[in-house]
Amino acid sequence: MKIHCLLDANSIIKHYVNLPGSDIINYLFDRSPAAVINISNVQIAEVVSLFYRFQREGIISSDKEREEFKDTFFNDIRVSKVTRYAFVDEHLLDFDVYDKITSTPPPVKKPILTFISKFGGFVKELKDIADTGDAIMLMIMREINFIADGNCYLVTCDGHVLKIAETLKLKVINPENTKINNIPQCLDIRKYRRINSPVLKVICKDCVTKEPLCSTSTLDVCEGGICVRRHSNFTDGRSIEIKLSPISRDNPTVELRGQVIRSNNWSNVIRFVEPMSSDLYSSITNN
Amino acid sequence: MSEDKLEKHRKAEQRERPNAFDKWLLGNCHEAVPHEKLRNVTVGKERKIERLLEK
Repeated sequence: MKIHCLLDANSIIKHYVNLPGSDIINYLFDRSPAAVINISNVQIAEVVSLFYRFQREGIISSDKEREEFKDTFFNDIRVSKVTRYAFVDEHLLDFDVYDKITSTPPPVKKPILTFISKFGGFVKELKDIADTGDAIMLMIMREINFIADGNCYLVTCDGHVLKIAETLKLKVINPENTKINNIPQCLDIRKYRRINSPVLKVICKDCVTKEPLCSTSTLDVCEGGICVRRHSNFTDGRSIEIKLSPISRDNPTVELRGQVIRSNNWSNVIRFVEPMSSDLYSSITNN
Repeated sequence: MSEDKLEKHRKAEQRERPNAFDKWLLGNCHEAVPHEKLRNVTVGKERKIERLLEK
């Protein structure tokens, strides 16, 4: 089952820069068998403007570096590593979000007390309240939550947005205070048992064109997907049909659909659209 | 299944509102690089970036 994660700009940037919480974001991108990374079109503009801001602040030094950040991010959208969720007029009518932003006080910044020399005392300094971009994200998250029957998470480190999301009964992940061990089980690669089987033969064709892509073999198998020997036809984001069978013969054959979610120099990882059923699981493990 | 409903919804959205951005993406990511290369660019500048991201 796919679990939809809606990330804000400050979370998604952690995939391109090493910051606190990057390990969780990278896990969702590259390792989780279930996570689908969504971003609103408004947050895309925020991410791109952050890259320009990096250049303005001297964090990156040239137009070329800025283009590398921007194009790598855009390429992730192109290959469906990141799914764009369009903000449309209908979202504007979700008035509960405006209500909750107004009625939910922002949390206190740490350190809790800030010294104000002018008045010779300490005051509590509050975090900034959720802005327009956050409101849009919450409206979209409400829609995803409704359509996906709650199989979704809002991923943000923004204290006020986290509080509002809780009052709206949305499930949240704060990457800055979540450890890999505490990641929700539905997103955790370890929830799928690895199949202790011999190497399996893999025959693939394109889901759309039905064009044969390749024959290869598995390096690793679990109920949620397979890791196979690298083949150039396995481009990230490509949807494929897979036939799995023991290497020495063609029976039994398990037919599944999946998507290439990541690649390196020697392997491709394919996530099944639906995890393998226990019947299919048994048919592979028993042979 | 729930994911199918969301995907159907998204496809319907795309049909209703064909998007120039998607067409642009197809041929305009010439400078894309491995993520590890990007992360190396900002090594040692993490505090500065965190301050930028703070609200």
